[in-house]
Amino acid sequence: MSARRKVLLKVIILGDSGVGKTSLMNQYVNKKFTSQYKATIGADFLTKEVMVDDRLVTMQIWDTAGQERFQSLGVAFYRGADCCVLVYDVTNANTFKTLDSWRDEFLIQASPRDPENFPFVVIGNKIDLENRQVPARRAQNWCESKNNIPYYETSAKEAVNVDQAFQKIARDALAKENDDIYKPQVASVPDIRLDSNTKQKSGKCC
Amino acid sequence: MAHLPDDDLPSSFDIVIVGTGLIQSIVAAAAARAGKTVLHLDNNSYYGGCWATLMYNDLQRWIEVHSKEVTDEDESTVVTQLNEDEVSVKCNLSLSDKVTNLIEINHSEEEEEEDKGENKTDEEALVESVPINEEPTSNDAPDMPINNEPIESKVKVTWNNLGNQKKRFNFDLIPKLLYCRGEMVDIIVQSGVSRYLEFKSLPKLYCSNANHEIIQVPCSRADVFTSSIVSMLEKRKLMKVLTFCAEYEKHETDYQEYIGHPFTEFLQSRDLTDNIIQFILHSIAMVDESETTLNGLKATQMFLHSLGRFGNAPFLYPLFGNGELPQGFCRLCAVFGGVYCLKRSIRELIVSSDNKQLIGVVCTTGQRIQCSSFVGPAGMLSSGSVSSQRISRAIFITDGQIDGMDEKISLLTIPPASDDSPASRVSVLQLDSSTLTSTEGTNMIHATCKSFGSSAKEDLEFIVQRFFSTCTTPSDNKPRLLWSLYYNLSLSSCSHSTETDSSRDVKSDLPPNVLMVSDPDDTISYEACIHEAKKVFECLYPDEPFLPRMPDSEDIIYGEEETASSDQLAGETEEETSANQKNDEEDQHNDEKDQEFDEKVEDTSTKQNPEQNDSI
Repeated sequence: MSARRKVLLKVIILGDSGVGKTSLMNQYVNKKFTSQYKATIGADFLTKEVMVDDRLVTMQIWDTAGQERFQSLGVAFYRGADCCVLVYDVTNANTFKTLDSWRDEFLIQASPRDPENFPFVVIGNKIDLENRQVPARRAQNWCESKNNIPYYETSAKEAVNVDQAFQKIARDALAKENDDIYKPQVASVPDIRLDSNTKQKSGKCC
Repeated sequence: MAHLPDDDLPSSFDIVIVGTGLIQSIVAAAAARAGKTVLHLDNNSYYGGCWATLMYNDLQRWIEVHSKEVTDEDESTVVTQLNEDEVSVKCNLSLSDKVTNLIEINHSEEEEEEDKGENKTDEEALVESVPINEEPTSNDAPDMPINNEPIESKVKVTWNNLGNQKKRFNFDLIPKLLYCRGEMVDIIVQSGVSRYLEFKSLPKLYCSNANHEIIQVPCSRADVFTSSIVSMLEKRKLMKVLTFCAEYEKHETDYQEYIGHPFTEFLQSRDLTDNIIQFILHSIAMVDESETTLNGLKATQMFLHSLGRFGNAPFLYPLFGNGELPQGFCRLCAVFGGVYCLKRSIRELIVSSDNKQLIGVVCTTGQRIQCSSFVGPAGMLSSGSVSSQRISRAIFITDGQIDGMDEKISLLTIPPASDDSPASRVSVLQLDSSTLTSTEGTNMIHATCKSFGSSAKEDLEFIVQRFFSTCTTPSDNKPRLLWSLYYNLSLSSCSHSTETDSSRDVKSDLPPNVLMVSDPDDTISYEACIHEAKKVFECLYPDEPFLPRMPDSEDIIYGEEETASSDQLAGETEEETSANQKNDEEDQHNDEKDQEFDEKVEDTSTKQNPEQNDSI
């Protein structure tokens, strides 16, 4: 496998509605934040080029497009993910409790070859708010119990820790991608992409 | 799963769509794209309905559900409170009678039984041979590789020892292919759904001749001249008729008199041998003998024009299976604000008794939702003009490719035989692990035909005898059959008529703002489905563009655009003019992109197919 091939990493963000998935993505890629909440509209995926050590990688961050609202994300959404980010809201204990089911859902739907070592990252968002309900210790314990998932606390609003969390996401996704023998790239016939306008994806095709 | 404190859906939408089949999904995406608020429901826990690709676990559940005797579901005693001027129309929720004659066979069980038998005789033979051994040292005895031998030779795959790998299989309920130059490719590129999909091309097509031999379908001029399917004399004639079909519109006078007649009659008029006629009909056009001349010409032309766009093959197959397509359109709909809820459907339509217009629906949860249009699957309502057709399906998992189909991903068409099986054309689609529908070392082989016998197994079992090695008919040069599944599907189709059509009264028993859509058809392609989706959309929103080009994802989110997207939800009246302006700008932008795309396509085709000029 050519190690210097342009790398495209697919990262998906999961978690209950309203925890700030789209905001995190938007803050990281566009450095913008809006406090006006509405169920996600128009968010598809965002791409960002990042340096991991000395390698330039393209991270493609996929939003749920609101399909998580009634637990209706289809299996297609999970296809080929290199890293899964689980987000909860530190001011809402329920959103923390559901992390378990989001993680299970991911493992069932994406069925990664090596579920034990699949890279997850957990983000506790909205630390700028006063009424915190989930203590950091509790979240850390949960992460440790799940094969030491890296844990970050962020504020998408005030851009606290967002870059750091995504840097870790990129690094872990790249490490996974490097030893993944299952990727379709090994096939002799190249996969065909039909999109003309998403330049950033061309790296994956041939 | 994660639960919101409130599981209720929003209470008002422009359009409610039930079923996430491909046609509904395309309509949903187009409606959301046109700024309508869309609620899209599906009773299943997965997307796609009949168009779905199921993972192994989902398939097991599907088999279980459809193997049960169809019992009439208890009529719900729940009564929806209606106003005086409203009537309710009950919806049929159980569509389980669509699937019949389900038979799943795990061939490793048969094989193991046989192996056991073999082992026994081996052991007996060894036991007998021991006394003959002159110095049987007791120390050696336990080390003797009596049991190791057969185990080592048993590294061959069986369904049982695939174990956890089974979850990597993706089973198309109805396999289909995209014509490289078909409308489906155009629509997914234009709409942006292509961002969610990847494809494999089918580099070779095969057909089977009267002697059951597998022959490559000639797809280029050079192929025609080297092909053994036609004699030297026939080659010129075949070339001539194909060249004609590729540009048939230019020679209207040549086929005019056959327009209403079957395609076969037209082909006969071209002084062709039966051999060639059968070949064009079944392996190129892939139409029935009764198909009209115009449709036959169109199908032949579509095949020929599709060559050379992405390599020397007319077809594409989506990675992970066909179920990715409806999901792609659903995601597009969601990106533009569509609300999705699986495991939920509607049980009643609410119709105004004054003007017979639909005014709302009642969900299976009892929630009442207001809407101004409704789209559902054929058969959901007892009324409407619906016809139904039965197809036979078989899915085989083997440990190798069909002998003679040396290309890993390929299509074989078996023409109907007058004296032998099959009685209607069978399409055999062979997929390997690079399509991400099967695991390494196995192939997934789909067979599909119009039903002619009493069950799918009866119709398609001949394939097992012809191409696979089983324990009852072992063969060294055939792949071993590991697992098979047979089923019949009953597919409904409905006819659509636009407002202007005089035949509108055919579905006059439905409120005018209620539309039904068809199940998949029995063809290998998506052309009919795109056509129907467009027609339904046109009936609903005659003045809106159908899936206009998608702006770049970076352009449509956040910041200044924020207001634009909430306007999309709020309504379309005030912002219409500015939206139109925006469209115009987009169009200009699009032209550039079209050019860009064409260039890219040319690039790929020249790259992958240096003999492109060679195509017919």
